[in-house]
Amino acid sequence: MTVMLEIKDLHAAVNGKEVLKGINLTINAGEVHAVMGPNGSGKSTLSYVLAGRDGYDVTQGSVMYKGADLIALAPEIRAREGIFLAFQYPVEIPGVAGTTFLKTAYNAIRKHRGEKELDAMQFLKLIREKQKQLDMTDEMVRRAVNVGFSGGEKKRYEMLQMAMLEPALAILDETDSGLDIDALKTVADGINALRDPGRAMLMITHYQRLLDYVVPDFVHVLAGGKIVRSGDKSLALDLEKEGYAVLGTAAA
Amino acid sequence: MSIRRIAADFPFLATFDAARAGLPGAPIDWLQAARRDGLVRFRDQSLPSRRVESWKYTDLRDLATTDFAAPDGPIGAALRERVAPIGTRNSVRLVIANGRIEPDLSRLTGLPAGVHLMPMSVALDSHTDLLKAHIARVSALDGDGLLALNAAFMMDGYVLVLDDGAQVAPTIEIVFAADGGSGPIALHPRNLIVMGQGSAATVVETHVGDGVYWSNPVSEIVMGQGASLRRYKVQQESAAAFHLAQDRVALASGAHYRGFLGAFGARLARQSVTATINGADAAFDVAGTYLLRDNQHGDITTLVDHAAGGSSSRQVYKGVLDDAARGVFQGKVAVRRDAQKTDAHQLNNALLLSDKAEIDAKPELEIYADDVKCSHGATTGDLDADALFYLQARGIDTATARRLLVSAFVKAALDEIDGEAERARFEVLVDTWLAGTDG
Ligand SMILES: Nc1ncnc2c1ncn2[C@@H]1O[C@H](COP(=O)(O)OP(=O)(O)OP(=O)(O)O)[C@@H](O)[C@H]1O
Ligand SMILES: [Mg+2]
Repeated sequence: MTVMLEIKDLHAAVNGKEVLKGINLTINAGEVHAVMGPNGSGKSTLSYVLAGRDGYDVTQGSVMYKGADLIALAPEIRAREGIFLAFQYPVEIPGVAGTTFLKTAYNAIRKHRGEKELDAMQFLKLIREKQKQLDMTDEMVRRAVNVGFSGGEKKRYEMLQMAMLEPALAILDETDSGLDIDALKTVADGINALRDPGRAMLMITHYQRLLDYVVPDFVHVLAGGKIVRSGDKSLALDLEKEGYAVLGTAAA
Repeated sequence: MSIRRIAADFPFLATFDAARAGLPGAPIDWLQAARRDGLVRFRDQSLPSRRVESWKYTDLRDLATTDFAAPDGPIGAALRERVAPIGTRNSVRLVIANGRIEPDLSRLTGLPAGVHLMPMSVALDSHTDLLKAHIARVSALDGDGLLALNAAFMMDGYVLVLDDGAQVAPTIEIVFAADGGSGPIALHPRNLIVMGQGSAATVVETHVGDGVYWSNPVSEIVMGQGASLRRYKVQQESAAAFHLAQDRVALASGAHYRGFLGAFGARLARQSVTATINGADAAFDVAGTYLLRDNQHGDITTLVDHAAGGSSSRQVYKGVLDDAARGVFQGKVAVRRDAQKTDAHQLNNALLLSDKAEIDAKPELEIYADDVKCSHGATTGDLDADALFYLQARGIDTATARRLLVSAFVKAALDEIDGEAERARFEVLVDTWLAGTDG
């Protein structure tokens, strides 16, 4: 089994405040890991640290991705190396057409892999195919990035991007939040379609619901900047019933 | 000596008599009188110092201490080559090179009946009364030393006259080319557009050059009832040039002026626009973008005077300042007591790409009527860090991500351009500018 991501004793600070306080987590290729945990426990912080956001500083520990140090890489290099973060709050970018954005991203990644860049026609053909699976229209795809999208549409657009960019490690930060039942199924189908022995996923969620559709191999509970409990999918069911109180003081 | 004026020698004043023999209309007495009159006013006014309120942010001292000569001879071959492709093959085009019409590069045929385009030197003969009246009007304006100097040394600019009802569909291309390659020169083009009732035209003005020079164009635009003008300006002066342009626009009822400025060049530039709306239902819409880097200084100063009711004005400017560039936006809207139901909107947004870049924005409203709709706004910001990270997180490198965001910011100004071909032209210019950034 190849190790995709290996996080060891990771401490990270945001604006000088320590948020992650010693995370250990190993994800192998082909696995889906779910991360749950109370608000403010550091889930999004972990996702930003992995994606390389400015201001999220690793103060201790290490993160290895495909056997190499991840922290040293610029965010765009991480993305080109196959890391994809589906944002909890996708950013609206007025004036930048969605197709321009996605084509630029797509070709940057292809170029990095030594593949030929797609021209406008080839790209349109590909995106048409993928957008259908996620119930998105031409108009939505052409529009300025995320501008005027409803909460659910934004999440579907994240999934469209993921389907296009075909990452090796997908980090999904509450991609299920704000989705209606049909959209949840659509998104879950999109995630499942990408499940692959060569690919790994880290799904941050608050709800058992998503895990009914995308069944995880492992479930972790992040609380107070640490992983306080790990188990299989039944752990999520327990949490759903009992709440984080079952974890005791560590979660508070 | 007043501290409101810059004390300088201005060697070109001593050579005035010699120089004016080579300027348009040398044998015309009334014009010579107007030139002398301009000279007297300039001697009195000099160039405004920063103590003058409207010149607080733009310093003309470097200009005042440069020894400018009168232009002498044609422009160089390299510059000619840059001028040649401007516009389309069939465009009506008037090229003014080093202060004179360049016939080889111009094409003045193909205009419909009732549309007259010519250089100022020709109009002095063919449209004498019109020019006389225009020069008298401009001389009587309460202007500054720059206006006086232009009156004294006025050179070829373009004169466009549209008879009542005359409409010209194709874009009229005007190119000003200046070559200061063999020593600093000063150019004082004088432009006049007179539009009859219900006439319509589209003009694109391009300003390019090489070396050190000072371009000091004065344009008067008189719009008759229901006249419609689209006037787009590309300011791509050389990086060592000074460009100080003044537009005076008068609108009769129902007239519609649409202007756009793309300001990319010059070490120091100021575009000043004074519009007077004299009739109901007239609309004055201007927009623009200034994209500056290194030590460039760009100033946009506007005054829109609503002297008649029921008129509207709209100003939308987007500035991008990199390195140690400095932008100035002074926009004033005045609504006189009788100008009820005025609708005036003014906006300046500046994007600072570096810590050393600076913008001074001074929007001003002066309203004496009570039933009006006026808004103004000025914002300054840097690139949205969240948007930047979002793009990077998709594999887009920092430089490209910044370009995408800057281009999106500028696009909001380009969207004001009414005309697809012209918008596309400015898009290319903006992209060219962006390609010159190092991220
Ligand atoms: N830019 C910041 N400046 C200061 N504190 C921050 C910043 N970003 C996050 N934090 C803090 O870090 C902690 C973890 O935040 P994070 O967003 O990672 O939580 P989360 O687990 O994703 O929560 P949620 O379930 O609500 O999305 C919170 O206490 C938060 O206030
Ligand atoms: Mg979160």
